[in-house]
Amino acid sequence: MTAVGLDVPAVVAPTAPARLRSFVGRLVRRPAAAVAAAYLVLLVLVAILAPWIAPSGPYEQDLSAINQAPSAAHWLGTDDLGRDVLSRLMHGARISLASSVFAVGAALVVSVPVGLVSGYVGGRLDNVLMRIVDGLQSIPPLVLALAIAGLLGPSLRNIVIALAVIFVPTFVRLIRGQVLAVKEETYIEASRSVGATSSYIVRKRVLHNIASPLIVQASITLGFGLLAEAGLSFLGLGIQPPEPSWGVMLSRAYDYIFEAHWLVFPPGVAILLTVLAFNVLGDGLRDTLRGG
Amino acid sequence: MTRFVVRRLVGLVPLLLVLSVAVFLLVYLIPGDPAVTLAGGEAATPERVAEVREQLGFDEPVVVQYGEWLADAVRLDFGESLYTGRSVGDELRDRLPVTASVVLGSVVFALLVGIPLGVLGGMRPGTRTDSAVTAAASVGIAMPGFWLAMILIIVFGLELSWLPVRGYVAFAESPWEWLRHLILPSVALGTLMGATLARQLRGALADVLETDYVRTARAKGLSPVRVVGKHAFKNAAMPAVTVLGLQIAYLFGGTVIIEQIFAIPGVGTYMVNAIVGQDVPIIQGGIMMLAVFVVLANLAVDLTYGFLNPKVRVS
Repeated sequence: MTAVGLDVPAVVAPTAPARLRSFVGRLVRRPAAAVAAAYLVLLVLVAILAPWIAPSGPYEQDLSAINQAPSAAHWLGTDDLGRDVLSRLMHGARISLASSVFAVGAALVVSVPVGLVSGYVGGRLDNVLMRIVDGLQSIPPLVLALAIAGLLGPSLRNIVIALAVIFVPTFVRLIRGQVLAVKEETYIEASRSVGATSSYIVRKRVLHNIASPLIVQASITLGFGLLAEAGLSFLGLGIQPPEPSWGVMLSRAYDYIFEAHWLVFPPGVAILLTVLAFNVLGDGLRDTLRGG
Repeated sequence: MTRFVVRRLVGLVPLLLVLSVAVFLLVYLIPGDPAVTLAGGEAATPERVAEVREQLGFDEPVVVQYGEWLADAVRLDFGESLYTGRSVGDELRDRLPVTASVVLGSVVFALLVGIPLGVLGGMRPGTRTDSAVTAAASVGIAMPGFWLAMILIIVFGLELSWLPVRGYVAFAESPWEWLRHLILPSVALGTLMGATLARQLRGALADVLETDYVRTARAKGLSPVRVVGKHAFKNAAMPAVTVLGLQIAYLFGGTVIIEQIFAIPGVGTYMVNAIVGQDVPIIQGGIMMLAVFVVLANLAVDLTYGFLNPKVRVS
């Protein structure tokens, strides 16, 4: 006997695309979440298209026009090497977003199986895994990321690894908690009683139910990743100049804070708005998923 | 209560052991042969490599290395810097009051801003005041602390010249200068915590004000100030305390960058220089110390919780 019979729903369930459409429809009816989502879509487009739409290349120098205030020729001014700040900001979006997205992706790849097993199997294994999570969580996340990036040597790949390590404990804890809550539900018991295997239950039932809180957490973590990348790069342990990332640009701006303090604003505002957008989107997703 | 405290303290032992293993193993993240890298790479003389190998105990099995490191660490002996030869433990002890001052200043700022804003928003949910508080808190949470630090430097240091933007003065030397040097770093570091606190308190207070006992208090004619002050605040404060506890780890992390920006000679500056220079004993000792502080802060929160709420003690 298999559990397949239980899959027949009482009412005809909407197809996946239709469900998604209705979900997006409900999400965009929240003005704040809609604005945040629109901003993020725009930002991703700018990041992807930067090589084609940026006014100039990210490394193009014009030493006759250094540290200039915003003008018609350079909308956001130029930096200490006469590079166009807007162009660097657009190219920087690629690197800053990529490091955060890859880090969250890598963290999920590790923490979903670990969290599922820890919560579902329980017992001594769960105990050991949770002690490790506790241990990692008591190290200030930024310090741990700095140490990992510093010891591995600064590069995009190593930032991704460092950020992923600090994200994993939060994700594992969240997933495990959800599994523990879902495990006791009647429908899981029902699946088990008709002979469904553990792996089937975890894949088809449990995973489905923890997706929502996970998506919310992922959105907020993407914002945190952006902040952490900026912090690492600012201290010289992240992206290495002349490559543009928002953290690198802020670090450079700090060096010239006495001569040209407006340079502090473009990358800072970009980080602020993007982190805000991820957080607002996360809140919106949470409220929408809760059914509102 | 005593049993509760003892149980919590005993529970810390495995946590600290796991932590020490993780911190100790950090050195193996260095690509290639750590001894060669730390001695200065390919150009290092064999004598220097051997010296580093000996100093870090790489010539022994990992378990023995760890055992020796741990035995020293519990006596707060984290070895010496690979470059200056100075004792890591001594250096950390000298710099700790500096970092503690910055962290303390940040917590004070967070409380001063977070509590009034949270109460203001929570007392009248849905009003324009509430929206303003929520919006301000969201911006505060998304703001990179070190960027805020730069703006504060530009505004209060460079434009207005009100406050010093670099360095630190010990309290014993001049309490007034100590305070003046701490203001900008505390604001930069404490904003995240203040914003989180305001948001939490606002939500919790709005919920508590919906409860029956608050309605009763109102019905018997208590003024809004007394309703919040005497009845609602204490209950709304519980989740806020938890948040403060969780935020401590972020404060100790954030102070690393903030100290760098304001050129404050604390643990953070020490750590950043050590990480850039891959000075392993400092990295291990520093992280271990910060982590122990985080663990103790969380324990304090737990105990406060148990003290305020008898139910927690039993479970």
